[in-house]
Amino acid sequence: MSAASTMSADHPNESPLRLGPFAVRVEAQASEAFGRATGGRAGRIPFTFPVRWLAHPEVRAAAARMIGNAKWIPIHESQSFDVRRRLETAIDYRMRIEMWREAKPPRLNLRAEVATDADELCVAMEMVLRIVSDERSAAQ
Amino acid sequence: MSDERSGDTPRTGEKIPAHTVRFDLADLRRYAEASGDDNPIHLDAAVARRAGLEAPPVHGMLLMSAFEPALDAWRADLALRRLAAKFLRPVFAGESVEISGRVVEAGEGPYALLRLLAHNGRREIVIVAEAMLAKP
Repeated sequence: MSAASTMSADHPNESPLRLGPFAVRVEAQASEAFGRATGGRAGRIPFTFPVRWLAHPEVRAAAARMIGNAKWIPIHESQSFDVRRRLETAIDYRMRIEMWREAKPPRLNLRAEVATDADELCVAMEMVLRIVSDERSAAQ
Repeated sequence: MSDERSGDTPRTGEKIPAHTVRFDLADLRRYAEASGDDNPIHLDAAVARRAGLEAPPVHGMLLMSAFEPALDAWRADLALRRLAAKFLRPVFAGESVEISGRVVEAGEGPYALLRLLAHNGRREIVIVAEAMLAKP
């Protein structure tokens, strides 16, 4: 990542798992669908659109492994987006991710950066998920 | 947003117009499809109940996404640069949420740092957020 990257900062509880880079891209159709679902302005990439990339199967699989138990449910606790450079449609970007667990209280933290092929940082995202017990499953 | 505001420096203390949103289960399904966030807690009442919730909660990200049109309605000439939110309480499908905000810092450029709040129908704060806007 670029010199402005915020990756590899301190992680208080655990060494982070590093994923990527993944190739990501804003397809016009996906951006429009996201805009319709969120009430965004037509013809503009929604500001929060990059969160869609966190649903990448490899990211979800890594998160599931870190949560480590089907009897736990992730609850979104906080989220941030910092945009250094506005994304454009039909351009290839690269996304790198760091993910780590906190034990008390149980949380999953995720930090992602999206950059151009020239390593210019465009978007940084941070997500914190609180991990809560799925009570009925846990009792089974 | 009126064109006459374009280029003006926002004033500290200035409030954005209140903006009300309400998402029902069909909206949650639409967002799940568009975002890829198909966590069943948002789509399945039984899963929500097992997590101790009375009904499926609206995706936090769907609520957070509603800040952008609210800010657009205030100053469409300024671009969002940063948006950060803490989700304090669940908002359930069908509940109305009012978004409000106030400029806490502003300057030439122009730029504006805003503190944003989302309240549910019981006037409880459900989201606390911060936004930075600046000239594109």
